[in-house]
Amino acid sequence: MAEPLVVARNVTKVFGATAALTDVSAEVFPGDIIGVLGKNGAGKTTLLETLLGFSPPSRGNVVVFGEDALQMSASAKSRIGFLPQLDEMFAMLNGKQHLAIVAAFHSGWDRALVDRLVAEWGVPLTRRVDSLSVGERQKLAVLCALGHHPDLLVLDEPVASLDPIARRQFLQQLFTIAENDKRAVLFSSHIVSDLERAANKVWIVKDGRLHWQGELDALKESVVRLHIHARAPLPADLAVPNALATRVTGNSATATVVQWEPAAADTLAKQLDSTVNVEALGLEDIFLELHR
Amino acid sequence: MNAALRVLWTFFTALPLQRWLGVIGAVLGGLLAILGVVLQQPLWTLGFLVLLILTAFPALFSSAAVFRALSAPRANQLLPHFRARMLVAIALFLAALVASFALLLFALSSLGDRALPLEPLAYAFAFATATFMLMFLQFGDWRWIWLWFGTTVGVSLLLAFPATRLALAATPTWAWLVTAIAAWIAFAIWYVRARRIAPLALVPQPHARAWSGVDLDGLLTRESALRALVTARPPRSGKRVAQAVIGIGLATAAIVVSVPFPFTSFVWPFATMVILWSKATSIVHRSRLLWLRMPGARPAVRREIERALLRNLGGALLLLLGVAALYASPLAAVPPREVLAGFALAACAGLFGTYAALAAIPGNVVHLVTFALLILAQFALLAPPSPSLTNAVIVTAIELIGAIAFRAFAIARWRRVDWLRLRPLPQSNMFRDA
Amino acid sequence: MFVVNPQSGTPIYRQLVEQITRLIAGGQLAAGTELPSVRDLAELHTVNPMTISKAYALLEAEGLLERQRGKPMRVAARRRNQAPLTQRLQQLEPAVRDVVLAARQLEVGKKELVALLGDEWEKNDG
Repeated sequence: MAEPLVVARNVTKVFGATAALTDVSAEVFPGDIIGVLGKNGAGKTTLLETLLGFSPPSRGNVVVFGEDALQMSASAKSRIGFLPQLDEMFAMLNGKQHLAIVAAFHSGWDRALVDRLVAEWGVPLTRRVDSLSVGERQKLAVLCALGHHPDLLVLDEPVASLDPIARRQFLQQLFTIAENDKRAVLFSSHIVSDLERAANKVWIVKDGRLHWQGELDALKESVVRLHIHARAPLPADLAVPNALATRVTGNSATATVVQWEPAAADTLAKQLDSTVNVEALGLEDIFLELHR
Repeated sequence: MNAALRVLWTFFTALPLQRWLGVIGAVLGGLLAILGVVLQQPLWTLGFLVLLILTAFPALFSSAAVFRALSAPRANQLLPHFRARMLVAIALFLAALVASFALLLFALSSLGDRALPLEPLAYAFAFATATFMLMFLQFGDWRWIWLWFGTTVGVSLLLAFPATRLALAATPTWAWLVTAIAAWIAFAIWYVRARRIAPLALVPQPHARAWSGVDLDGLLTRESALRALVTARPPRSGKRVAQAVIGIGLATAAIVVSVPFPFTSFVWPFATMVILWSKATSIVHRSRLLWLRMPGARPAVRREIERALLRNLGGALLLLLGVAALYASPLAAVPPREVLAGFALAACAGLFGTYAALAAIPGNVVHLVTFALLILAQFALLAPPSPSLTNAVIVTAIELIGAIAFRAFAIARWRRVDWLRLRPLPQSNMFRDA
Repeated sequence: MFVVNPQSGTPIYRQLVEQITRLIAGGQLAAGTELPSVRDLAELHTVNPMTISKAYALLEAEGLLERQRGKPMRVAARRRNQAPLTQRLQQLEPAVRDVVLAARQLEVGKKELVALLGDEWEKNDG
């Protein structure tokens, strides 16, 4: 297996009395497109910025490209592309000037790619940034992050303000980036449908912890909703193994379970003398169930 | 009424500092009152004065900021009777200030068995009006700071010549009162009818036109791009020279008329310190933009930021040199020792302000207390008309030691600076919406 | 050609695998037919190309697809009864379960259901 690009070990971040991150350990491998999903305030931005060394962890450490995130060399930093959640653009510059400033820091700036994307995405370059719409600003910010072909692209809510067409274009560009299997993309988003299209791995952040991390496909196969129909009334305190939530109404029950094995359906059916129908859940439903 | 009272409360508690000062003032006031009872002296008046200074004075400045911050968002305009309520809040605020001041005067006058003097109330009202209006304007567009400058120069001019000085003193009190009330009426009319109120701008930013038309193609090196990021100014701007010349020209005018303000008075060090501190703060807050663009650990970023701060300071020192030269010239004919003392005073004040900003990531109570103490020393020891050279040396020494201490503090804090918290400051709104 | 629903509880790769398998079994994808390239299919549906590759790789492992050098995947020559009956029946089970559940909900009896199945079978034989 290839060397991970980013390794976080037991990262804890405490602000005063509140713990923004607790004991987070994760790895980013080349070829990954990782979607970071979580409620507002769950710690997504804290996690992403701590991984890149913007914030020193209270405990634990982060290693990026084999170097300590707090002391990265020029070559390591030049391989990173970052799009922060809060706009860091200067209102009085126009797009062209912004791109020029960003390009000055990277010897590998791909002018042709940026020009092509500017045309495709319709990013106005001659108007001042404070006169652009939120979506246009975001597109410009994305361009600033990926123009130098970074090996590690970290995007914090990159598409929150983009319309569906722009989001599709953005995802297509992500796939082009990920075709180079030495690169990795890490992005946080609320838009679950985009994550389902793009991500091959998912990190679910809940209350500052990595509640789930792994392949998206495995997650969908692991969390299911069971519909149980029995011949006799079921007990009100029905205990279904690995259930997150169970609801019993007379002869029927619904239960959301994790770590599901397909073979368990028959076992449960026999156990409860009932039929068990397995409903696979989409990512949004899974997310809602995990937060019940 | 509820809403107006809430806004009024916000005027007094917007900044955490204000709350701290309020608590300190209440505690000190209470202690003095108790002490007064014990010693059978009316010390509660002193306590009340302390409370007033610590709460009312900062509130006067922050009320302008809060007022603008609340008035700007378009969503707030949809609240019922929003602007009327805001005006009620301001009216209540003024009433509270005047009433407190009146209470103080009453206490002092009852001590001496004199009648309650109404004149100071009128002056206080006029002063509060002027301060609020100027701060309100400035927080919308920092170019209004020239109005402050102009006012100071104008007032100095009036005070410099005996004829105008007498005329000023002879102005009846009611004239001030009427002017202040007229100003408020005009303000209220403007406020209710204004279509758009510019949002709060806490620090000055380079003007939009600084960047318009600047073509960066092929012009940028890594070094100049770094500078542009940190100062938010385009590279190789010749406007700096123009600004310096204008600055010196105005300084000349200021000197010629402000004879009551010698070079070694608190005006120059205070102004230098505050201006450099605010410019340094906006640079320090942009340090985040350097993290992924500069190799190495945090100390490397700190060194680059420090370099930018010192360049900033250098520009200010050049300006001060010009001012010093003017003071030494036949125009003011100040003895060379005094010129040197004045320059050192202002220069070290600038150094202090710069390093205080570098260490304030973010700031804490230590900062503000140190700043306050220095300002106190400046005002106390360097009051016009002619502060002694010894005082100037003392204050210079304090400033220098303070600067060195802040630098050491900064180096230690920067090792663990948290850029999740330290973000670029909200930008000025000196631009019209497209 | 394929229906891909990223929001479904079924992973995308599995949707593709099931659809392609059924199309091959039903004859709609004859042996030798070229399938769209990974990149084209990913672009068409705006999904991660890796998930398309995963589906194709799985089908290749099962012998349903074969790889050509420099060209997109193509349907392998069909061998009769290549998978044992039990396995093929297992593939049908989800659909059967759904039909039985629907029938029960509609209070259709077993005899009527079998008759319905028979009718449908006759129809497709023509």
